[in-house]
Amino acid sequence: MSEGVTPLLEVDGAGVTYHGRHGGPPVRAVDGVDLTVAPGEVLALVGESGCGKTTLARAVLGLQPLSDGSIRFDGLPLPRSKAGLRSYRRKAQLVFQDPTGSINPRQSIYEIVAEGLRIHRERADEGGRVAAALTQCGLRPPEQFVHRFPHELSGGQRQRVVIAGAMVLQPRLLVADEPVSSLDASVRGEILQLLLGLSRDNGMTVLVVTHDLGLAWNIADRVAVMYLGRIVEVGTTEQILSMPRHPYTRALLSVVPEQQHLKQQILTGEAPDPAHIPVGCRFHPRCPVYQSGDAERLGILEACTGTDPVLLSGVACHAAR
Amino acid sequence: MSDPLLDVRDLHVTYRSSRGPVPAVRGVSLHVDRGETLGLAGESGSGKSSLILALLRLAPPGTKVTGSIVLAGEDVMTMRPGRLRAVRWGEAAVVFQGAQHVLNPVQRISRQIQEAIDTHRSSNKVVDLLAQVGIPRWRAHAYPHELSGGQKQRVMIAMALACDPELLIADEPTTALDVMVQAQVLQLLADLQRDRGLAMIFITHDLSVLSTVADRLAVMYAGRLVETGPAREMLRGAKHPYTKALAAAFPTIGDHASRLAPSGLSGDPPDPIAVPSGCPFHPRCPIATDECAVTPVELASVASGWEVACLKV
Amino acid sequence: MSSAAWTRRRASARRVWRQLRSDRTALVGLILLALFVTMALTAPLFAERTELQAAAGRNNPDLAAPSGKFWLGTDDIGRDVFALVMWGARVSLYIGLLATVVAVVIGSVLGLIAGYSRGWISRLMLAIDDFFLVLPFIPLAIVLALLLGRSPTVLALVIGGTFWAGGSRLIRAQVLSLRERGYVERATALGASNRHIIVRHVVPGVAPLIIANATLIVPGAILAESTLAFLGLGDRFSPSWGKVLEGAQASGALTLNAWWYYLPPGLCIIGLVLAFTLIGNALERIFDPRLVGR
Repeated sequence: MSEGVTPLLEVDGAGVTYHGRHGGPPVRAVDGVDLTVAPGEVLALVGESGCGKTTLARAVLGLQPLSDGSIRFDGLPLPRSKAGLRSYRRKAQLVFQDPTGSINPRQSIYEIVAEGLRIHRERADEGGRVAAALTQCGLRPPEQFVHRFPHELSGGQRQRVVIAGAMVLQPRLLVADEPVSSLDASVRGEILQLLLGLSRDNGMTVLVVTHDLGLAWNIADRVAVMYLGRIVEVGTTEQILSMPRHPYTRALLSVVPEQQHLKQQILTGEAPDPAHIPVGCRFHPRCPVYQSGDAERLGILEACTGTDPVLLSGVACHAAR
Repeated sequence: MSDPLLDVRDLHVTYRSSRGPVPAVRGVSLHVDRGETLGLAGESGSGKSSLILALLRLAPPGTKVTGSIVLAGEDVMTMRPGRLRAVRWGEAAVVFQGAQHVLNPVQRISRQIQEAIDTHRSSNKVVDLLAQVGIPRWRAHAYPHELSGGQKQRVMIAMALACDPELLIADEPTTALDVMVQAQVLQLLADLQRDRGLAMIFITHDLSVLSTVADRLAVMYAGRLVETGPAREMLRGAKHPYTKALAAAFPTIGDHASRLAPSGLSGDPPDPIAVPSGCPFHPRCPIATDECAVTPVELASVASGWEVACLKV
Repeated sequence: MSSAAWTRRRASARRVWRQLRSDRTALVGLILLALFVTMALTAPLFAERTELQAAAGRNNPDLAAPSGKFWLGTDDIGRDVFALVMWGARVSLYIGLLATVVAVVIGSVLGLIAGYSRGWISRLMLAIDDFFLVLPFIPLAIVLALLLGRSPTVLALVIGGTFWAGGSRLIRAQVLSLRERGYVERATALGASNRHIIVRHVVPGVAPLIIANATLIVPGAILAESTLAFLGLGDRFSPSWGKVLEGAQASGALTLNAWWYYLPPGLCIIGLVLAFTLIGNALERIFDPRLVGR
């Protein structure tokens, strides 16, 4: 990131802790995340289910209060008041995974896209702005779509409507949570192209939450890998996906189909419960470096079992030093 | 060479619906040899799910199914109900899409697998089956909600294997799973296949997954096959534009051609009720010409064991 | 609301009407309802209102069997039973419908609050709801009627004020489900206030259920009114069918086999209740929340 440019988002030691189920231990869904996002960039937040990426994304949008740490948007902390959050929501928007569930089947396409404008009482030229947003998102000509209803459109078109509904407010940040995972394969490319295009053309920052590394390769400038509530590696897409340094990232990449040149490292078991985060490096029980004895050879055995590594030059791993 | 385990010829499956007859499968012929894996690729509306249901006559009543389906030498279409029930699960078993939702939430998984065993009077033991799919003994009596997505999928696989079938049909078995869990399940399936000599039909819309599991590939679009052939060669150099597009939808990491360049098709997969004329793919095809809209197109051989249905090839 | 939405609402209403008409049991219900509404509207054509007064029957034979002059005979004070039954339609329908409106308004508002709010408000609403659900209706109604008066309006209010709890539960359940829908979350993400979400997303989603539920409360209200009338409340000289029945019972018409006195009002009550039940059940089927909103 160039000097002198205020990052759009600064996440500092963010934590989100839920109460444990039935009196069990508390669930640390997000456990100390530091992240900066530059204006206009596309950042992919990758990780498997339960790693906390969706919780972090919702916290960034103000939909989930933080238990620890802080988030700053454009230099200012996120508002807490209702009115403050409301005006923040004009600047930071969300696109969900399931386009069908996130639109009201009783509303016409026009109403769905105009909803944001109406909520924020921006009546001036409502029709024009709706048409512009629809056109911007590839639903041309807009006249053909405004009177239709969601069930008349395909999955890909519905996702475009959702994106248009977010774009009509001209946000500075768009958070897309698994934007194409419920769409047909042949339709993915166009939606991803749309997101990338919207970012480049409008200088809009996009935070994509996904478990699909190929998606990150397709549209992200930078990638942040999350595991059990922490970011374990962050860097440019080329760095992370071609020369990963964290053992978890390496393992993830090795099992992506068609990465035949990498030796497959299938991790045993499932990702552990965020209610029982391992002591020391949270990844060490599944870490190939630890299990193979390399950790011992490198002399970091005690560190792996005792100290939680911090992000240093983009990677949180004792072995990477 | 021995006869194929499954031989399907000219299968047509037409549903009844409030909008009229829906031709979901429009003339598909394919075969699966013993011990081999056929990858079936297609998206919504391609007819792949209807195809599987028809294979074991599981389509809803009122569905018209024509063509021939021969499983281990027996004609499935003319089987008597008793024999059909034995064949379902005993010879060919299905792991359905969204399997985690198919499990009965108020029954322990051991009981559900036992049910399959008892129905077919198999001699398998539940605990052994679960161990084979990697579910430890102490989990054997869990309820479905106590298991993770990957574990539920393994339970479905165990259930499918309960009666030692020769053919396993897996409909999008890894689609909802994380990439690491997906790798685990794929490896499990590969191990099981090797140990038991299972034949498998693996259905998915993610061609990159098929590159690791399939011996042969068949791509469906709008109820028809558009390309079939050896998996590795096809993925390296697909001939049909739709297959190419599907392959490009899940880019190869490290390939600079796809870096910051997502590629996709315009339009949407067609509704089986309103399939475009001529070649059904022509509205979305990057190389279509006028004749593609009017001339019906059939599978034609381009190399040994490789067929493509395209006028431009 | 935009014109697109209005067109859709109209088309939606037309579709519901068509579905209703094609459902055979609903059709029976609609015909019956039409019959009773006609009865209520055309009553003045068949008999003067004065026929209901005590004086009207003075010169007529008491408990006379049906004849050319009195199509359904006379009651125990000589009034024309046919007139009683025709005019009774108005009272029964009026009380039934007013009671329903009251019950639906209270039930919907409270159900909405109970379903949408969280924490102690929601728990309080549930407790109030539970309280009214288990309240013994008849003793309460009698006490209230004695305290507040016996006019049809008061009766209707009393019935409505105690009948709302069942519907409120249903509405609460639907609101709970709607609250969690993806599009509600999207509206929140867009910056919507609670008011916006309730008005634009929850109420339209709950409206069909309210309508179907209301149609099913009417028969309950009518039966409730009949019961109360039978127990002595209500006005003899502007009687509902229940009140006519009470007259029949009190005058021993049953033992005297004066069937023209007790059968017509009884059948009318059953008929009206049946009509609304059939229509309401059909509407419930049409508006099944599992099919709506997905």
